[in-house]
Amino acid sequence: MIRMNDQELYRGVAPADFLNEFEQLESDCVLVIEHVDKQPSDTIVNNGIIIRDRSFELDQIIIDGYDLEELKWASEFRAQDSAVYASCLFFGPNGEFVLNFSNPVLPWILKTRHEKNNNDPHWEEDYNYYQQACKILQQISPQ
Amino acid sequence: MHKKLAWLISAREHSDFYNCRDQAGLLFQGSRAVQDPAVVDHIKEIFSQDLRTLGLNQRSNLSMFKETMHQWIAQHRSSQLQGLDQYRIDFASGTTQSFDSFYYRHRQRRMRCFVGEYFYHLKTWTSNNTPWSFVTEHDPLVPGDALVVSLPFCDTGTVLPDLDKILDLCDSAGIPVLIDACYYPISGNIFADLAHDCVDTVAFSLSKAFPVANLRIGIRYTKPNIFDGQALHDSINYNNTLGAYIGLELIKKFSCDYIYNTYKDRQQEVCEFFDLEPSNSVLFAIGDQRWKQYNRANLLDAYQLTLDADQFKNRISLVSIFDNWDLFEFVKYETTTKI
Repeated sequence: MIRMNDQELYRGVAPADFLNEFEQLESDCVLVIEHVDKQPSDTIVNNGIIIRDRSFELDQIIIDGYDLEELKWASEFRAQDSAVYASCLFFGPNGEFVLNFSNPVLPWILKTRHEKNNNDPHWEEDYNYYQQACKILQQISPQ
Repeated sequence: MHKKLAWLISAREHSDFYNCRDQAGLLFQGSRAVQDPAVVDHIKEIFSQDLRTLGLNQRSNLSMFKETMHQWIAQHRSSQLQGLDQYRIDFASGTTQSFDSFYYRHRQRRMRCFVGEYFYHLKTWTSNNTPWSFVTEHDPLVPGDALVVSLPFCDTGTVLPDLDKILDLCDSAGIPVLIDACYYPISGNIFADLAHDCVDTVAFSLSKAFPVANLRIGIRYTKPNIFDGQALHDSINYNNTLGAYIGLELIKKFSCDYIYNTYKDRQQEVCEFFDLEPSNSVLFAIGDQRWKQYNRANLLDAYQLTLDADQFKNRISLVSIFDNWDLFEFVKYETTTKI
């Protein structure tokens, strides 16, 4: 199950790719990907080795065309048994992958990256120029 | 305001923030040709022709191009280069082939250029372990050197001060000189006497005047006694006949001063608005410290050269502004209105 701020976007078998278009008005966003309904019988162990299991891994998150890349790790996995795993993209047990971010996503990406790497001190100024340019271009030649 | 314009132009071409930011930082660098609408239309027209018949293997294109280009250069209405009649003319793959021929012919000499010269020379010399150094007060030209100098000068788009004296010195010291005249067709009020014994090569190209740089269309003037590999290929017409055809069609339609005359008023307007100093090369202007971020430091990185960018002028390329004139007018109007 995939939810954005408690709004359900998808329910079903984990897809290879999931694309969803929706308008997000709130600035604080929580993306939740929940692994549900896994049963003990889904895991088959033979001589202490798991020979079959039900699990999947999150590979990539793209929001508004921007690949979060390493920022997808700024998340946690809250397992059903209350265990919390930081930076876990592997969906083994039932539980929730939770990623908090801000909308619009671009300034959040820039700010978060700068906070982590301290290598983009002008991100805010650049973002403002970019936003201003996009607005003006939209005014001049709306599509 | 220049940042705002840079971002506007970049955002028009790149919707992605990161690509846009990369381009905005590089926008006023480099020296590509302007996408002049009349020239672009003519190029489209040329490419709609039967180029297989007109261009491929039509060897006469080469001689026609050389002859026409020689006249084309001489017909510049605000600039004059004296002495070119005394040289032989070869077709050249841009100016670069002529540079390489010059380096090789004078490989026993120490290569010299002035601070701010075209980075290709520095890259080639550095990567081939060729002895070289900038000409400075403390490291002047001496016998045994070979000099490369752009006319107008690469760093400013204006004739190097004391060029005549430099050529006189090279005459007396027996220093062969390569004149890189690739900016001549985008410049005005350029005067030089090239009838010097020392002048070994004068290289021209269409790459800066017209957006055909990738076709590598140029000519080389050399002393008649020079018969190197480039001259050999020229003598047997073993050159780019298609490039020669396209170049010929362009110079038949557009004069050598077309770009200068078409854009000099716009250059003036941009320079007044941004407080830049106009260059004799119409596609450039010189900026003060406020424009430092647009100097050629990034080009040094691209060329993998470890030189101090601060020793070069803040040469600003106006090409992107000319190519996005409506956005410049918008920014100018908005600024004026706010005032």
